[in-house]
Amino acid sequence: MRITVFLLLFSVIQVTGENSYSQNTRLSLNLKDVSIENVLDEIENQSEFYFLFNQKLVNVDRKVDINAKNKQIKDILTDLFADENVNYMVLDRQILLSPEYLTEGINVTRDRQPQEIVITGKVTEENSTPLPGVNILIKGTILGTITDVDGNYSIEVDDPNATLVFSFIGFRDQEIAISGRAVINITLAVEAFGLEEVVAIGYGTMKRKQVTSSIATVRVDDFTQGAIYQSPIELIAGKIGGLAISRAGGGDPTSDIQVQLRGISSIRGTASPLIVIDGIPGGDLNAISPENISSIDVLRDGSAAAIYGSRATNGVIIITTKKGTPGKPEIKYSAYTYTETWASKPKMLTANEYIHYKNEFTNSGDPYLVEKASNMIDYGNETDWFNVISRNALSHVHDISVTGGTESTQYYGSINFRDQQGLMKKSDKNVLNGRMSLTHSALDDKLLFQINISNSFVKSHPFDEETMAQAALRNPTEPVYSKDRIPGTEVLNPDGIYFEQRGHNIPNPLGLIEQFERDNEDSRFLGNINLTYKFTKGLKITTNAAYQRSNKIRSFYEERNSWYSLNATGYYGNASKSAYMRESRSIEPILEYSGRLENIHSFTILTGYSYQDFIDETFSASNRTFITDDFTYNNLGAGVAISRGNYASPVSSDKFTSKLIAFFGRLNYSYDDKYMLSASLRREGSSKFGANNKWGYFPAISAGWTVSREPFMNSIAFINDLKIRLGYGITGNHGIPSYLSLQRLSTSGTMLYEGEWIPGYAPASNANPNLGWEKKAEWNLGIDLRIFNTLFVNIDFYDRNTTDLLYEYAVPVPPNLYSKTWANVGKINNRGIELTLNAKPVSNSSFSWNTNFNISYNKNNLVSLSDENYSHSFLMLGDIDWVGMTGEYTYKLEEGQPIGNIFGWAFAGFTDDGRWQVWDKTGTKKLHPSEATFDDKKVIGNGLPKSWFGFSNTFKYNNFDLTIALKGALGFDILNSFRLGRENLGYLPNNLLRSTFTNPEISQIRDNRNYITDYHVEAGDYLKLDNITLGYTIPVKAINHLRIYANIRNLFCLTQYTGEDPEDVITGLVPGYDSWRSYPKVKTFTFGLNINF
Amino acid sequence: MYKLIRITLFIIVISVFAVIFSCTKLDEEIYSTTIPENFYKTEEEIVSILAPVYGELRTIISGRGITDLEDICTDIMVVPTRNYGGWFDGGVFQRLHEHTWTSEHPHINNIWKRAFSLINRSNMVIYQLEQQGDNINPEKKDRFLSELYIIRALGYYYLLNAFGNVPIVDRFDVPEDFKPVNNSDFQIGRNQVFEFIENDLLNNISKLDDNVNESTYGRFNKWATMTILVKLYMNAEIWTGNERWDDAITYANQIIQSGKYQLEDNYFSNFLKNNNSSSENIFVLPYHPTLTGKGMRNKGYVHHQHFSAGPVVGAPMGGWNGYVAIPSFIRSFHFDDRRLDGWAIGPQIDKNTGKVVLNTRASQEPLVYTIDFENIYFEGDPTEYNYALATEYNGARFFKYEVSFESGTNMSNDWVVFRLADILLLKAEALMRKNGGIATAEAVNLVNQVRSRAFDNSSSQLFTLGTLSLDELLAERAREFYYEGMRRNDLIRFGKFARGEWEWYDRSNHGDNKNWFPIPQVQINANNLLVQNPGY
Repeated sequence: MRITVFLLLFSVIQVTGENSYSQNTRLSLNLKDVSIENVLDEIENQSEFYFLFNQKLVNVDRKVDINAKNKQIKDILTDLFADENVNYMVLDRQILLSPEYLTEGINVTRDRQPQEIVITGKVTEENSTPLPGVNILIKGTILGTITDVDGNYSIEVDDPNATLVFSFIGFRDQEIAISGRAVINITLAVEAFGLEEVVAIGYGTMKRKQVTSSIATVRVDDFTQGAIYQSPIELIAGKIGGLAISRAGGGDPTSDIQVQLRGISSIRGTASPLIVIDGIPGGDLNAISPENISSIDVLRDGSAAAIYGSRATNGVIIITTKKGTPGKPEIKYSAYTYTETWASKPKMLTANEYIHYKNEFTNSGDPYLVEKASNMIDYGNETDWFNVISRNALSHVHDISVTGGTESTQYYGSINFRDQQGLMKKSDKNVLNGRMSLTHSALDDKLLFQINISNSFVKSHPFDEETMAQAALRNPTEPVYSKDRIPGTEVLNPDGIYFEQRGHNIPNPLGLIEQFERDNEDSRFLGNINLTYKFTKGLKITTNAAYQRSNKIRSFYEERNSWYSLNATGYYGNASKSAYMRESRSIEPILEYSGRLENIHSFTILTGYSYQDFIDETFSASNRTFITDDFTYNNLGAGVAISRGNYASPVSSDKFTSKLIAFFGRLNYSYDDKYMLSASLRREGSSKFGANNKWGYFPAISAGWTVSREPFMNSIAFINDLKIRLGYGITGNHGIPSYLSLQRLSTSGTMLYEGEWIPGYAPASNANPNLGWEKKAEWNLGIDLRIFNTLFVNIDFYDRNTTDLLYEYAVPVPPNLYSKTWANVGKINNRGIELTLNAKPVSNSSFSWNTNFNISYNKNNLVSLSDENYSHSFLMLGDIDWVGMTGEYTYKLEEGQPIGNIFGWAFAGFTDDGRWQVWDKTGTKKLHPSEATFDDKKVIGNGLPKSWFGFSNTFKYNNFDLTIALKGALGFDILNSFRLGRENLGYLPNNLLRSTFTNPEISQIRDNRNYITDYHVEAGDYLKLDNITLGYTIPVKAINHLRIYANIRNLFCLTQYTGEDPEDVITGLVPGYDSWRSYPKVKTFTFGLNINF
Repeated sequence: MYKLIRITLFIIVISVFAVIFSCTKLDEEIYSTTIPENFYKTEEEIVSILAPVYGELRTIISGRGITDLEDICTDIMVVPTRNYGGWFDGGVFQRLHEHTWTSEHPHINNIWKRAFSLINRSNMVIYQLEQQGDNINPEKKDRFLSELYIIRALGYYYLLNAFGNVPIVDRFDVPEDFKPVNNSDFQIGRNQVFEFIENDLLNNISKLDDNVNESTYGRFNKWATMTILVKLYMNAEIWTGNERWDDAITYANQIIQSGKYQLEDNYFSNFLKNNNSSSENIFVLPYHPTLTGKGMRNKGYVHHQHFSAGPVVGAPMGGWNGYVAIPSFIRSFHFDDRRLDGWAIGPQIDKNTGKVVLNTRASQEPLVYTIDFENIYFEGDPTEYNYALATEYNGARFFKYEVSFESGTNMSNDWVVFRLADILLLKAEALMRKNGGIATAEAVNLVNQVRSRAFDNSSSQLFTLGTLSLDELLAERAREFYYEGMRRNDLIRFGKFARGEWEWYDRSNHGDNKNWFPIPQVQINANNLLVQNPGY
């Protein structure tokens, strides 16, 4: 199918290319024994062709015979110079002759098409200033020219469908398809970090030079290359200061990316930034494909984000999708395929090592080791359990898009298909995404009408984390399958496929994969219609109406002979099916007036209204105990557990809604682009809050001063631009469940009432009618600087204070019914600094180097958890999931301390007989952990990185391009749960890390178990080669653009951390806990191509 | 063309203003829950608000809480840390056994939370019935109200037993900024709680049903209420300083003389899967195979048995290998005492094959429970030990309730809270207390009624005036009521708890403040008006 399209397009282009003078002109010659010079004269007589050559270099005295009838010029010339080392070049009607040695290595060939088109034009900046010295290149060739002092150029091309590439230092490269035109005037936009670029500011756009708050932008050319497999947000990973993005889910294609802007500003409200897609607040990123995005703007500070009021505390990410462009249809196809390997595999004992240590221990004479060895059974097999559960995954992604249109109507459409296989068996994701965008202007361009629709369908298989845990635990000598067991071995399921034993928590890892069906189907719709009407030049009204809907179906089946069925649950076969629906409708009309006074004052006034509602519905049903596995989850009625009365309430449904309504306004004023002021106010109400507190005000004000426009700066030549910005804004957070302020009754408990079991009704939660907004006030001071023309420096300082933190606080029972109530208590402070450097140190027609470096530092402090009604000096969080550690909370959230503090005992060495010792609270006495108490625990680390950085470089050399991107995080600790749970001989006979045996200190432990101390807390700082891409643009005629590339992600990581990969949990309240169950981190190898027709 | 402009403009303007002026309402719409204004319309709806209170009552036996702690910090049971690392959980179980708990102890907070939740739910439903219970037969309403006062009193009984001086909250419609306060004087506070419970019980006893039938099963009738009274008066001396032995005897007599309850011939009849037919049980928490959760299964089987023990009872799952008997307690049974069968000891036999069950978790060794904990002693020295080195086999396992999973994954025996044997032994104790701690003929007779059924040939095992002492009675109560949630209270009443001496850990240097638990720090954090108990 794909190939057919390709061929079809190819032939169309060939036909149009034939249409030139040289091909249409036929000549007839019949001459004998004449000099070549005479032949050429005769040709000039018969046609409009004329010849240019140097008589010293080309021998035209040679006598020839020629007999041609109705032949093309190139055939005649080929005959004429058949024996000579002479090249010819047909340029329109002009024919150039030259000896071959002169044209060697130049892209001029004997059969070159005649050049017949001369393109002229003028290149200017956005303010119409001519740009001299701009490089203009015919794409795919080395032919080119440069503009003159007035910005004018002239270039001859042979193909009316060729593309011209305009490039100039400090400006963004622009590619223009000639499309048959003879005059092409273009305006070059300043580079992405330049001052003339237009940035999205929420409900509008603004020139970079007038922006007074902290907004960072990444455009399509600078997006991350290579496989994007979890979320489109990966496109800007490591590219924006203050924005931390972590792939904590490793290589799981179904997991989500963690995003955090400027630290943790809320402890129970929403933690991630608000996503705005084409103006739709709260847009679902999974509804669009990464290939559809043209730019991403991040509103970082409060003054920028406050226009989005209630949801903007964690910043706003504005996604602008690709729209239609006028012109002939342009078709782009991009595809890549990738494979993954383990970034690093936990180093467990192999079967041989396991047997080796069993024998060594048996003969050791140490009663402890002898006893341990007696439980280590040799099942006679060699199994690498990590290999058993993983595979050679191969994924591929295709995107085809078409865009075009007239001056009044433009369209963009795309189909995106992703078939992604995870490293773990059966874990995969299959996405089909279609998107259509239509723009139409009417009524003398007064009415602008735009429709965008995307639909995505996803089928995926999530990964059961238990698989990873059990693969680590399991004895490497055990067989995978029952049939491979040593005769006589007691087995739980002698007739079953997978080798299973009764016992505590050791199901067969492959059984966990193969005996469970987890089929997820998602479909998402995102559509909006945008109408703009311009009353006059400055006054316009815009209405954006959007509808979003996502449907999810989750199907589950557990086979009759799974380990759980055989060992723990008492049912045989377990099926369920659940459906979730979420829809959201929004409408936002905006009235805007912008104008200029005396050419020096410019302003924009905007006022608007916003309505958005959300509806969530769920339904699920399940049944158990099936006679056959054949139906899986497709015939719930076939199970007998319900009819036998063994299974209570297997059916449930729920529905909940919420609403947001807002009025907002904004004023932007600029005096000569020198002094700028912006002020906005949003009044917003959320249905989730108590009757007295539904509405909140979210004001913002910011100012900017372009110092470099002051006369006194003229003498400082190396500073091109300098702007100082100061902003203050208040944003809110309402990310809590609905109905918490209401007194509700829901089903609760059952009672034996006069011989019948009756259902009960009780209040669903403690109602808090005073529940209100969580608010964050933020100061931001920024400096934008451009020096030496090519280096852009951007520094932002911020100080953000969150008050009225939404949290479930412990309250006395009675008077309260439940021990927790949602309330507004507590304060968090985050302050930090972000530095971004952008530069293009080298840029010429054959070599360019683009570089971006950003680093950010954030200091977090939980100022308070108490007020007059609620008093908490600290909260304990993070229950460690290990045998014997139930209820041991490892993270302490304490007033006056940063979030993410890891809490445990301080390790004080081992006793001579291998027992753990920890320091008591005075730090003077050594205790065994079983004698130590809570009071002896202290902060033993912090899991939140203090600093993140990204460093990316793009090099272009002729047709080659190379991108190298590094990223890293500094100043944080990780609780290595893998060592905590798999590095102690006491945990035998289950498998252990090899270091347990090889590290003399650890092999001496005789305590049978580990305790949560700083012995297992490690520094997490890392520097990662996150992305390396090598691309080559193949100059192929008839195709506008053809590029192939290879990419490696996560190639290596420099770190002292001994676990798998330090890139870990960065959001939430228990950061830095490297769970031993999590999906492995991966290295990804990608090969891809892009074609534009 | 102008027509088109006008139409477009009209549509835009109308749509803008329509939404602006119509949509500023932010009332919440609810779907899968309801609001009180829409409820309490029918008798069925009103009855349904009782169910969560009785449902909440089941939390008194939930693990790590009210009745659990009555046994696992005494001389009957212990939750040892296993040498494979299990059941350490930050040392919480060790501290219960050693009596080194602090106000941060999570299980102690569970007692507070669960008891006060029971009290508060009772208060709420009392309030709801009084305000909105008009659509119900007045007699039924009065009976419901009385039952709720009794449940509230039971909640306070458990709090008095655990903490002593707790705040009294007797109504639901408290002012918004209300915070409960306990008395600044520990003893006065305890007296007030005692009086509050006594008043509620006495005021309602006559309004309660005196039938023992299906409609009172699992609910508070007159006799179950009197049982609480008997237990309250038995503890009056230690809780208030005033002896109330006569009052205890009075109400015990009423229960005994009513003839509504008889001792079962077989001790274990009270704990069968279908124990609703027991004539001895006075108050139970009814369990259903699917509707009432895992409480009975965990309490009766899972907490105790080994991971590989499933085949012993034909259970689909093994246990969690947690709670076990303290060796000296097992050794306190006479070899012929049938009640010893309530403990799994020695090799465990597969119910179907008759063969010894193997420990399939590790090396396929036979599963054999040992009474003693041999290898916790360092080099054989009986004074040097760490019971955190217990192997997975150490300890006899609680096995009193019939374990049957025929009806699914849960057990449906009804958990016994009060039974007649307790009333008989309490009356005997009261008689002896009045007699200066010396047995009377009636007391000996009462104790022997209970003890005799434990032996095939009981004549040689019966107590006499000469052999029945208070110490013997205390030991007999352990053998009769193990893991029924009353041991800590018994030990305190007999003066043997706070400085108690039983296996592992010497508590004799501890203060008497260990007779009550500290008020949980979490609760003090949430309510700074609470006064901590003395010694904490």
